[in-house]
Amino acid sequence: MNDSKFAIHSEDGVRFFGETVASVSHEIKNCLAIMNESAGLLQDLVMLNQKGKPLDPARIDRIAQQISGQIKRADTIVKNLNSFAHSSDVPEKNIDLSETLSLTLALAKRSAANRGVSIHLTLPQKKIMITTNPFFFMQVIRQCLDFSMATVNPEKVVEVILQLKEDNIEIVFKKLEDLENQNQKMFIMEKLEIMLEKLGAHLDINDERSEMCLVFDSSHQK
Amino acid sequence: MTEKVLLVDDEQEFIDTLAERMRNRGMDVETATSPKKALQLVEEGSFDAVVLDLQMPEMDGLEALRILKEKRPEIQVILLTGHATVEKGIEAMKLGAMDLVEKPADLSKLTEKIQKAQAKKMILVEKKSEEKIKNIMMSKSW
Repeated sequence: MNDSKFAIHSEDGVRFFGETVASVSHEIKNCLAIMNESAGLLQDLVMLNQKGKPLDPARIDRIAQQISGQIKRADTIVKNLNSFAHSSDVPEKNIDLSETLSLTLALAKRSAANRGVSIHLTLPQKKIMITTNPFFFMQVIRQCLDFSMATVNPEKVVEVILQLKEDNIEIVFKKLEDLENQNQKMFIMEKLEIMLEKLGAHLDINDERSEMCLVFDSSHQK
Repeated sequence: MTEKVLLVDDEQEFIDTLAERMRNRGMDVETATSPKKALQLVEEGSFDAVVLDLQMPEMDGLEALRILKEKRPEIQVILLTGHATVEKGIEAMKLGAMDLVEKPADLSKLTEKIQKAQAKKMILVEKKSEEKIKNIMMSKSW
């Protein structure tokens, strides 16, 4: 790898990490904001009660449920963030693809929502394990997803399918449009070149089927 | 005088709870979970302040701010954000935002800002009316 390619690759990695953490922290702030207002509302109701307005137990229960719902939501977000942070611990690890793919898409949820895009994920019933670099794997998936969201159909739904086909593991991004645009194709291919090389994977963009497929050969399966 | 406020955020539980607390404090509050709905409400009614989330689906908060100010230059917009970068804050002020508040917001501080927004809007509306009267007076021969 030459110096300039290495610099771009490193910058992309840091950017991916930064963007993901920024987006997740925004989600956590949203949970905190709801908990803050719920706690404030409880204080308001107590104050009104001191002025003679009776407390409604069902109302209090609904507010308590709202707070515990947000605690669960924040806990899931923080767990995802923690798993993401640990993805860079080791250069190679045996990972469950369904789990890591779901995590990557969950971390991109806010970005998709901001673009008005829905992501539909289909996973195989059987667990697929591969030995790979977890951080680079997640980065490639995120880049493919960003490309898919930029070329999404008018219904704004991206379908992501993880499947075993013949001897290969495929992650297919479907319902894309304008894939005949050569500049876009070149851009994503160049952007992912180094990481795909590191992961030992390749990318197929099929204009006719309006899909992009990330392919790992069976040698990765452990 | 009752402050008329429009709350815009895609987090339904957040705006429902905040709206209830504001109503408990005597404010007249309407809510919208999308910038499109907010723009529609602003066209239909008059608000002293719009409290607008910076990050929302379909339309960026800054884009919504730009359209709001185009439609109603006198409207006072307070932006709500999880984390605002300095660049975003500066851009928001350039586009005419009155203030930027970080989530979770302190309601007493937000209320103060809404009251300031109401006063600012009243001055702008009065100024506009004065100019209108002045123009009428100038254009008539009496």
